[in-house]
Amino acid sequence: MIDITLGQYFPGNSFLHRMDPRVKMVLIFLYIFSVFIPQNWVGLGLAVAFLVFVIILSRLPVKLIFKSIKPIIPLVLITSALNIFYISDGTTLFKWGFIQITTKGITTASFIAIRIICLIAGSSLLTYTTSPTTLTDALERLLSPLKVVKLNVHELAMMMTIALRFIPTLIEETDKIMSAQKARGADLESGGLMQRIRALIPIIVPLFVSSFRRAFDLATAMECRCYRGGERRTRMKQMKMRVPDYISIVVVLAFAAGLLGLNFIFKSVL
Amino acid sequence: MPIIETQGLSYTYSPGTPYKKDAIKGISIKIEKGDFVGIIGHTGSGKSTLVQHLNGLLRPTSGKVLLNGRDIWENPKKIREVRFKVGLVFQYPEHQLFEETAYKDIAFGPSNMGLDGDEIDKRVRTAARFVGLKDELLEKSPFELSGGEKRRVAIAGVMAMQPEVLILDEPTAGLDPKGRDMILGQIAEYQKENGATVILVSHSMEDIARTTKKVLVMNKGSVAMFDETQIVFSRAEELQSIGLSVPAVTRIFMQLRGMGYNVGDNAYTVKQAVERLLPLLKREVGNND
Amino acid sequence: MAIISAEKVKFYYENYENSDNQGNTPQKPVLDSIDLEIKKGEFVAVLGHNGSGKSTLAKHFNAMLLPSGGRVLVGGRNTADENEIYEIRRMVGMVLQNPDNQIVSTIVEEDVAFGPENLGVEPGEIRRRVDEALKTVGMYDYRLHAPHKLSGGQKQRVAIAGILAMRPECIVLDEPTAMLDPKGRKEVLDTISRLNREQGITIVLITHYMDEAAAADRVVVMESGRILLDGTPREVFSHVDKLRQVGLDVPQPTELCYELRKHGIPLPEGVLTAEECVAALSMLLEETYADN
Repeated sequence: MIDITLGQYFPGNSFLHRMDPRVKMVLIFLYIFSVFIPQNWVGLGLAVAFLVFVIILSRLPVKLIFKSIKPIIPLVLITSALNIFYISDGTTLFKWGFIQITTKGITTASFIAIRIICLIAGSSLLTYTTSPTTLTDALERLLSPLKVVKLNVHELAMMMTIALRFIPTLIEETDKIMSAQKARGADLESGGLMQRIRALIPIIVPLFVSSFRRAFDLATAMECRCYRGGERRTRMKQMKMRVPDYISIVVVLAFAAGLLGLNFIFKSVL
Repeated sequence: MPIIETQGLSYTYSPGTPYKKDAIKGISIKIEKGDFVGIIGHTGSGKSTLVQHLNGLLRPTSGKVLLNGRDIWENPKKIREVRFKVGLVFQYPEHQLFEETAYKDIAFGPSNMGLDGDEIDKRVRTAARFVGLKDELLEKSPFELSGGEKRRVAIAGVMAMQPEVLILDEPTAGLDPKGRDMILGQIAEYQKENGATVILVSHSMEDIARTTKKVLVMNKGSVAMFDETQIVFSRAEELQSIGLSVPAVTRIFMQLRGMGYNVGDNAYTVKQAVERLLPLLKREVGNND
Repeated sequence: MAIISAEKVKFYYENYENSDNQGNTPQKPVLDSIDLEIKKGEFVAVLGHNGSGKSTLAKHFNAMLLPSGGRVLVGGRNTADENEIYEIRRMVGMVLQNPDNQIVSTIVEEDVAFGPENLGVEPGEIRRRVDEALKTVGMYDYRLHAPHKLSGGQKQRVAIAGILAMRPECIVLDEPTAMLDPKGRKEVLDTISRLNREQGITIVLITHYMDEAAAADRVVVMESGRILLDGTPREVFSHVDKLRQVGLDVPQPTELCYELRKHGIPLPEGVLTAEECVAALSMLLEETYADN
């Protein structure tokens, strides 16, 4: 079972780990968008090279990156196949019945495959180098301008934090309740669908009751600790942008601009 | 023939991962019919893991559990029947209540056994009587009851299966002295009246000392001692050396003996201590008269 | 000087089912005219069985509950005054029974920071307080751990650190050890005794463990919403019969001496610890041995 409070977080002290999470989040989104800019091989190559460079900076085991890509391989294969078979412009390389493979098809398919892989690897870099708590925090601060439109960002973030905090506790509790009901002969494994659903009642009811009890306790504990919503609240961990963060912003912006520029220099292959 | 026997019982959590942990190692014990056994040990000493093997909630990594001489995992499909014969009351059992009425909740176990209505009714009422629940309480929602009453409903729910062996994991945790005395008294009564085999897991040396005939001391996943209560408490120094605290009266006796007074074996309840000390002290008081 | 004073505090739960047509609530009060003063720097244990009103009383000390009659003053501030509520809760921190349900954050140090963050303390100062509080309770090495992986005793110590970081003058603990094993109980008790001794923080410990009460300066016994006994542990535990009547224990050494005294053995009253009991017994035994 994965530990949800850590999510995919892989603790470390690399350049990426130390970056301001807000900057990291925005820049990774920016990277993901810019992967869709290149229309030529040079640009795409640059995008891949940039990703490799960032992975090296993150000092994560390469195995981890592959692990994150693995689940989407079927998706990549299917979309590539569709593109190969559907696109009929360009030089035909192979034709059999209505199946036709063209150079254009192969090029498009490769572009799409590489873009998806960059997208996934890029976003997994964010979750590998940032803990869910920090992500929540960063999100709260990034979205804080939305207060103007009456969106209570603090409460949203608080809810996410509490969920992260209590999910492992509730999983443990579910496990305990299941064992206890099994000890009273509850049969959770056999019978038809209706029977199985009914067999869940002895587990779900106690779980609900205990969640309410916990929620009530937690509310009391929060009040005891002077909680009064986001107003006048300060934070221990300041998110401060430092020189490396500014440099990163410049580098990524230059990278995106470069990709755009390359589109004018080289002819589109798509 | 012992009612429960374990042979070289071992259990490893998450085997084959970096989190692998041996919870219990090579446990071989015999529990006879009618025994009242206490199990003590630190958190993490393997007490809970051990008792969850006795009713087949956990399947041993190696070794065997025999119930009336038969391996409980002989036919894994029949493991539910083992759970009816070896009833296990978990820690904070009131957290599993779910039915609309206390009566229905107590009836959950017996109905899972497939008993007929009359028999279920009889069992529910007998169990409720053992834990001192009045009839009018049985028709209430379990969630309306007080903490102590909820706990007793939950214990009755396992007693109503009329298991040959009743195991209770920390049945007095979090109760006040009154609630604690009540439940311990009821368990002792149940044991005496039914000649049942009862296993009581507890952190409280005082509770164990007061109720059980035999004590199993667990330490780091192994059996450190398993003997008559009197004998285990006479080895108080050893208990302290594995970090278990002995009752205060036992400490008093150890210290008196250390000072050279011949106070006899360790006492572990106040009643025993009074009986042991009175003759020694009376002599003195008598001389003065 | 009194840090908390309860003056004729009455408390009823609103219960409409039991009220008559006139809207009166003729039920028994949970707290029945409590007068109690807690002095600065005291370590007070409040004993009582479940339902005696001890937790309800404790919740009045930090304005979680407001009296139905009478008043509670915390450092001279009335708990009924809404403007003072946060200052009162800062001054009187509260630790609850279930260690799992009072930790808010997924990282120990962030949880400890929760209180001061709510108070609007400046970030650098929060950092200092969090580190100091964690060191005080001996959990500094765990500051980056996830709370759900800690033992019960460790979680309670984190909860105490969370209160300490608000720089309270008094900590009220509502049965903080009821769900802990003996090791966890000892950790928590040692921590609060140390806070009382070394930092002079006033401690109000709600408990039903007699040995914990024996470690306090003062024991208050509650029964049916009233104060039954109030005095030093020695005084309170000399009322063995009275305590038993209301379903409470006395420490084993006290009980042993009490039982022997009933048989005419001239042992002193108010024996609390095993050591005192051994000393008293050995004196008598000495004479016996000398006679023979």
